[in-house]
Amino acid sequence: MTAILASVDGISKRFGKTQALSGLSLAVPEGSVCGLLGPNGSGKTTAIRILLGLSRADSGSAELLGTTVGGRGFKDVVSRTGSLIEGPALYGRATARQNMRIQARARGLSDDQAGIDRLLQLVGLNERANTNARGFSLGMKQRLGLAISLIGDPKMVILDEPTNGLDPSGIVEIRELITRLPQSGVTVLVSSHLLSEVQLMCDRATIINHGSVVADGTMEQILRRAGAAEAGFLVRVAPDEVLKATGILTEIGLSVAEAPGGELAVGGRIEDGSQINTLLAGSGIYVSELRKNQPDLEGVFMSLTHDPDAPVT
Amino acid sequence: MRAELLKIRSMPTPMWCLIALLICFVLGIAGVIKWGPGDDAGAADIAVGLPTLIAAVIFGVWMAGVEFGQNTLRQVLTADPRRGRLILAKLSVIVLVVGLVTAGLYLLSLPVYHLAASGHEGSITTEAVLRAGLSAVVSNLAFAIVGFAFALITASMAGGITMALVFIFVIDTVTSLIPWIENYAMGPALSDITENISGVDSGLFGESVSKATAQDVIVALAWLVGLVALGSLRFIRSEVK
Repeated sequence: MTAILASVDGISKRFGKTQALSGLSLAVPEGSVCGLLGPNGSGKTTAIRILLGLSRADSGSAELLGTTVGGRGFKDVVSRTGSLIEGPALYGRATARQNMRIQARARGLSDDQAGIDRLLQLVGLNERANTNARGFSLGMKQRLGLAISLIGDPKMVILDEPTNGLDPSGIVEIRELITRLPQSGVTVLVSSHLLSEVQLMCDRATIINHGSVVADGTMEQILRRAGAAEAGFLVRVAPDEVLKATGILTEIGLSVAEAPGGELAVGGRIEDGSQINTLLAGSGIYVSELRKNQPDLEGVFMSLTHDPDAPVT
Repeated sequence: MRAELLKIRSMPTPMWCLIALLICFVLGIAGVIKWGPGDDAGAADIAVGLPTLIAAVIFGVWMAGVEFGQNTLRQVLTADPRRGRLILAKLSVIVLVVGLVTAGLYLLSLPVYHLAASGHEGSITTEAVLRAGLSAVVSNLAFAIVGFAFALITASMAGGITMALVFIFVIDTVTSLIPWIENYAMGPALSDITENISGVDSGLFGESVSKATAQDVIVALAWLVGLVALGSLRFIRSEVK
């Protein structure tokens, strides 16, 4: 059975009149890249702060690497956990190397123990190691923040919006870096609002809204569960044949709806797309495009976080 | 503590404080050459004592305020979440750096200012400089700790320096003028202690009190402990943004 490296159980947190978290529970299994998704203000960062002991929950409990947050042994656990919260926290007038040294010393590590040169190389900052961090672009700061979070070979890293402010190539670099981490034994909890990125880098995800979980599971489970209703095929035919095609398909009991982009979304008891093609071709209708209607995370996210009646799973 | 020392080496504020102190020290040499060493350790007090006092307040505020100013506290506390330990580490560095720099500059002033004063009648005595230096170490440490405490209380670099200066120059002075509580103000108590060490009446708080009493020591310590406790409480209990 896979060990759970980080978990929160029924945590609630209120800031004045705002209920930031309301009985939130989530678990991060060892060796996974787990995404934490939610609209702005949904409580992602608050949950991460509580997990790292920077903020206290009003109720509920949290565990990190098997230790209760704030409890005995939590200090050792936190120093074995890398983190990057709401952008990198850097000493602007210190160089990249000095910033890493300061964090290494705070953990009681020498340069070699912390692997400073290796990490600077890993994030592509080895040639800018002696440049002041305040002169860095946001992307470089993010990469330095990521390098700092990996000091001391942590067992787990918690990254809050690590691709914020990065250009497309920077996003790809960070994504590849994060997806490689489990190979070296690092478990990752990453929050992001870039849903396509989460879909590409995470193997499981928790979607939260208004401080509560609305979906949780492996990426496949979330997509399948939320997309079950709209699974089927997307069919493109000539515009003047849309009505005729709709008639043919509905006649055999399939549901047909016009999808964005002029395609027909075909659902119902149909397993193979070629059946649609054969049927329409038999009636003289040429199918120019036929593909599975696979829901993406963005669609799932929108349906779960914008629908007030969305079921809590 | 090593991380805190590394911050001092890496950041500009401590470096500029040291540069300002060295400039004042050099101006002191010029002053001694031109006008002589003055009475007691007068030249060292002006060129070393006053600048190190100002630098001590700034440094004390900076030691705590840097984390708020740079927004680095969350990174510091995820490396080691023991907040009490962080406060102790920072206080230890303040004591070490302020003590060493103040004492070092006074000791350096002894041969340098003595040499610079060779063309004048007055002389700088070793005893006067050592007493003045020790007195400056005590007052600088106290004011650095006041600055540190106010940075923790306000959770801000600018707020810390403003409140520390307001406390030192306004609140404490006003308190020392109120008849019923003057004996419990920090300034006069600290002044009594430092005057007793240096043997020189500063004249800052009315009549000279040539002898520090146990009450002065207790009052000064109580203020420092109280302010640090207040700042620590705020720091430990507050949530990190």
